[in-house]
Amino acid sequence: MDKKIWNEEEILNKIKESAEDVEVPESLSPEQILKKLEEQERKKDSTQGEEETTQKEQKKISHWRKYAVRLAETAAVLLIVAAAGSQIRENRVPAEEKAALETEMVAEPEQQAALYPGDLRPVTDSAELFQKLWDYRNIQMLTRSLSSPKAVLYSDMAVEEADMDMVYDSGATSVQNTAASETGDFSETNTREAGVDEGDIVKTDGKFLYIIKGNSGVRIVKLDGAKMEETAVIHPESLNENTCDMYLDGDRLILITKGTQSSMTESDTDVYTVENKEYVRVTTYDIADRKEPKEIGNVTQEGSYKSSRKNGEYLYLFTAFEPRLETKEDQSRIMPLINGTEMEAQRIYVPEYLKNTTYLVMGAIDLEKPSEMADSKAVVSGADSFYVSQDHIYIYNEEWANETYVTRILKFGYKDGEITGAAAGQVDGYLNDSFSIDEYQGYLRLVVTDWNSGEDKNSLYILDEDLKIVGEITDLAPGETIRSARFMGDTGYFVTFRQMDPLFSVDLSDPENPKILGELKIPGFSSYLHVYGENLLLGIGYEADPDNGSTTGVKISMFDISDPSNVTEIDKYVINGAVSLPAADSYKTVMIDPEKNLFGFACDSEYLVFSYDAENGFVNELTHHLMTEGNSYWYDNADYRGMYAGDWFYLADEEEVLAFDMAGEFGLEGRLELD
Amino acid sequence: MEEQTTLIHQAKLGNPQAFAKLYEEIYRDMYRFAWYLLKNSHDAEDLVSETVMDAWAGIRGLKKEESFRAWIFRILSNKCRKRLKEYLSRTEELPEHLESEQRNREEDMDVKEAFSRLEEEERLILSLRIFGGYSSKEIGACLNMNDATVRSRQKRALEKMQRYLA
Repeated sequence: MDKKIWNEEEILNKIKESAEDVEVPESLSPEQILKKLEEQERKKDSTQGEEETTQKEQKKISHWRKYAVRLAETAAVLLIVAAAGSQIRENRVPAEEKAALETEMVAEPEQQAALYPGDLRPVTDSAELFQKLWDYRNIQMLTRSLSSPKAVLYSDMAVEEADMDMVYDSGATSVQNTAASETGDFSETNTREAGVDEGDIVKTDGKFLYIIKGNSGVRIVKLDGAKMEETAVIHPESLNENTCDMYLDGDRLILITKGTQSSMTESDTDVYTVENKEYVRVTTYDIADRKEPKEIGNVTQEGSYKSSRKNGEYLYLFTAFEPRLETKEDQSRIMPLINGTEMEAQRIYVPEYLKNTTYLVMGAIDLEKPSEMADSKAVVSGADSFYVSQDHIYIYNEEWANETYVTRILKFGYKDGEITGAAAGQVDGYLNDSFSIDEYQGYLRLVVTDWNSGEDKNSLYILDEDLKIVGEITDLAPGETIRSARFMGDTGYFVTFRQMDPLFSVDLSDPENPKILGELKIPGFSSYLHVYGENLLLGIGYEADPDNGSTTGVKISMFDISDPSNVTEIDKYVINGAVSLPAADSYKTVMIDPEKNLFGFACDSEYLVFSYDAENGFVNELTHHLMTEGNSYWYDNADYRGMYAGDWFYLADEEEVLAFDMAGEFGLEGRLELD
Repeated sequence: MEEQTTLIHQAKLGNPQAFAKLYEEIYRDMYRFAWYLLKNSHDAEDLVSETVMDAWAGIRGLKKEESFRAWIFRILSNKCRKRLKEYLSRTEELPEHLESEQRNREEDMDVKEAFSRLEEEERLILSLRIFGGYSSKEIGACLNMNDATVRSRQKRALEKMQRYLA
């Protein structure tokens, strides 16, 4: 055989080809693996398992747990569960209580007057918190050891209703979903909610670009049309911190970094264990002189970084903290550290339904006093999806139980740096993304997909201020799943899809009686919806073959919503064969400014910019090829940000910034490499 | 891409069929990756199996933006590297030569032979590239090198392959 000299590309291919005859052992085939996984799930039900339980177990645990919590509240006595031979703590369990627990339910114990709304209340002291965490742990162990738990304590827990006075923020302002008020001729981060800022890897104020580079801090770049110049670099103080997020606030720049502090703690004579404390640091810099940024202050909050928001002069930080439970409270660590000091127990909320022991820690920072934490609260919940409206923080997570999805929602009020617990609730189904949940005039609207008896089903729910369902439409578009949603005051739009895309419009003006106004069926589906001026709705998503639902390319659609009961698609633009669309999962990657009539997003290996007018429809202003790593099997395109300042369009990632002349047909006129 | 997200979502919520579907897309590459790297079919099988179980247990840790493939390959490559380190300390047992059951083509045999003569780090980089689908930057992040180093080591490895196959 002729042996020629192959080039590198060919050799790589040859190696891949030569692997084709390598047979994968039967035990690793997907069928066998699936069997193994299913068996493991079954085993977990009957013996010990960490988190998951079966459907029946799930219901019973919740009953046990609720009962346990009630007892704790009334007796102010530490409860225990001893059946499995698990922990018995000092101070208590009176025999009667133990017996009561293990037998069928007797009368409901008296409850303290609940001081707090819904199912969310702070603990009174650290002992109570410690107890509740252990209760959860023990109840898990108890129900696992009981082969057939007898007691069905409650069929439906009566929830403390609104016959008590609730004190919480009700400052409901009408929520605008149109473009945020522009203070200058430049683009801003595309946020979920107007008025609530979010961090991003690139920011601009029209005169400068601020770019997070790798893990090592921020580059400040001066913009002067095509001329760009690095003026300063901001490095995090601590060398081993990684940069997560960034905010701009006039002449202030706020950097969010994360790190881990390791130390040795003695557990026995000469025996130590490593203790790792994850934390997040928020550092505020004065950048009035863009060449000489100066740190003004910083605060730390324990936990892994989850998210953040800025509203007015306050920054809100969300982290997840794992407590360490030992048998004795003084050996445990159950309070997160805020600026090095333990949080007070009274700031920690415990929902009625405890699913795990992770805390979601919330901190508020006054940007005028950036070395202090203005307020700290925490809630014992593993939830880590956020929707933050003008007035409330909603934290939610989904669970799979009873062969169905459940979304649990926690609601907190926040105002001027103060965070207060408001309510807890749940709906069946899961949320596609944070556009599927929306607050307006005190009501919370949600569109969810659920999987029930073998089929996808979709529903719209409207919850009141206590997160109780007041209105609903169920069984929408069976067999399809929600791909995008946008709520705008009294009207909502959402897209479901399996083979065709109904775009539903909903009348939400009467929260107790939502009504479907119309249904537009077109091929493909939108993954992102954005109001584009008066009476226009832009959809960015995919085109698909109506016969089988497989996507054939990326598509942008413009919908006329002047009559919500009769929505029409007035223009579309399909990029044939395109597959990768970061906008589908990540709204911050979209640059959109309807007032400037410009929007941009990455698609496969290109960054595309469009405008729209009634006469010409969509106009492709720019198609720019992104230099992604050769031979990569997928796209790095989500790390690019497009933005405009005046008449210049800039495309930035952590390697370089490009300048395009908007007045000169988007010609590439400048390039700055960031080293 | 869209379907991946839905499957990942369902797998995160505990649905084994969704996880198995995701696995189906990549299991061959996973096994080949381990096989080429370790030069030992038994260990390759073990580590892939371990990886799958670990991934199933830890799938909630998968960030939304991250690819399932990248994430599970990271788990697998960490296990493989650990095992390679163990091989080095076990001087009595040398890993077997790369042999496949069916020798389809002479060329294939030569390519496998040539590959097995590369250094460990070179095999690692090439395997991550070919079976893992990682970019140089990602490989660099994985191995704690910068991407220029990765590219030059890859070049060197491929040049060696060229010589072996010539």
